[in-house]
Amino acid sequence: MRERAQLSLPVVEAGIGVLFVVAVATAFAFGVPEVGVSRHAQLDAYAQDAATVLGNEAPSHGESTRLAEVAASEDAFDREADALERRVDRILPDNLMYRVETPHGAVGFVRPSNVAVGVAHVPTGSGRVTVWVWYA
Amino acid sequence: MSRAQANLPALVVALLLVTTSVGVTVGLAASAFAGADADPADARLAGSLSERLVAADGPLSVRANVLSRAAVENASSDSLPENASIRVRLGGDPILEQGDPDGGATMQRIVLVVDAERRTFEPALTGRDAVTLPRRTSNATLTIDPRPGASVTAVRANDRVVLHDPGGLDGTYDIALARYDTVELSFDASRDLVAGSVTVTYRVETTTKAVLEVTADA
Repeated sequence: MRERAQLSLPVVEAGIGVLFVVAVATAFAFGVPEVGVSRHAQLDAYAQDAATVLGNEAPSHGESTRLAEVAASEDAFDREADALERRVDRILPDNLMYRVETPHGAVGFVRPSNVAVGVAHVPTGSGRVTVWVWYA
Repeated sequence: MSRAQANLPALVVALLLVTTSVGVTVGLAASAFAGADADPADARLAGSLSERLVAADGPLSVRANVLSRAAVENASSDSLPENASIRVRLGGDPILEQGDPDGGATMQRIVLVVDAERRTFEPALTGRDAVTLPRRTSNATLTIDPRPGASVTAVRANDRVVLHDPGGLDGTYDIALARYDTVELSFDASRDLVAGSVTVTYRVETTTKAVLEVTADA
């Protein structure tokens, strides 16, 4: 009988065992809370603060607040988008990037998918305005 | 038989592999548990204190996320929780200090700082008996002193009646306005008012942005 080259069974078992153990190890590597204020809590606070400040500011023309004004209509958004962008840029610390989305369009940067992002939602009379911030 | 014997070295290698990976994992877990902060008192304190300071009814606030410059300059550490070292900085300058926090957790918040002052002007009241306030403001003080023979019966802010007295208004009145609108005050008077009949004092806010930094070491 010709001997066939067989993969040794104990090595296969060991391989599966190692996989299980590594799975447990990754849980420890990623799942432990960080020391101090977490990145997420800080970013959410930044987003919430920016939204609160914008949400309480007087509008330049109509509506009740600056955010309600940009969310109100297409025309209002087109008119106020640049002013809104400048304002958000001024309010946020320099190490943050942002995106503000209204029902009629968005200002700011394209949101990356691979970084921690803080988010805040502000309801307005004509739809929801969302503020995202992340570290540059 | 040769087949069963050939498995022995493989078994040794397999055991070695499993043992090593278990050892590495246990080491990783031990260091993760040692480094983890299961009771993050510092972060909790920094977070809740910063939330309190920027709240609309906070000790230094005018509105949510808007601090008053005057309140910031007179801030006292009485409102801080005891038994913790806390430092609060606004735009880099310490405004509140209790103990000397060594490390601890730091939370940053974005705030506006308001310098409020009151400005007074006497509208000329040529033509219509109306005046538009130069700035949006939340309140104003009117001093009405009509010339003899004239009397002011009502004052409207954007068509809303804010003061009314059929017998004639005379004196100093505080009126509340909407901060979000440009306000036009119009006066119902028995005769054309002349300059000096009305003095308007209104609140002017100058805001600057700043970062409020709360460091807590419980």
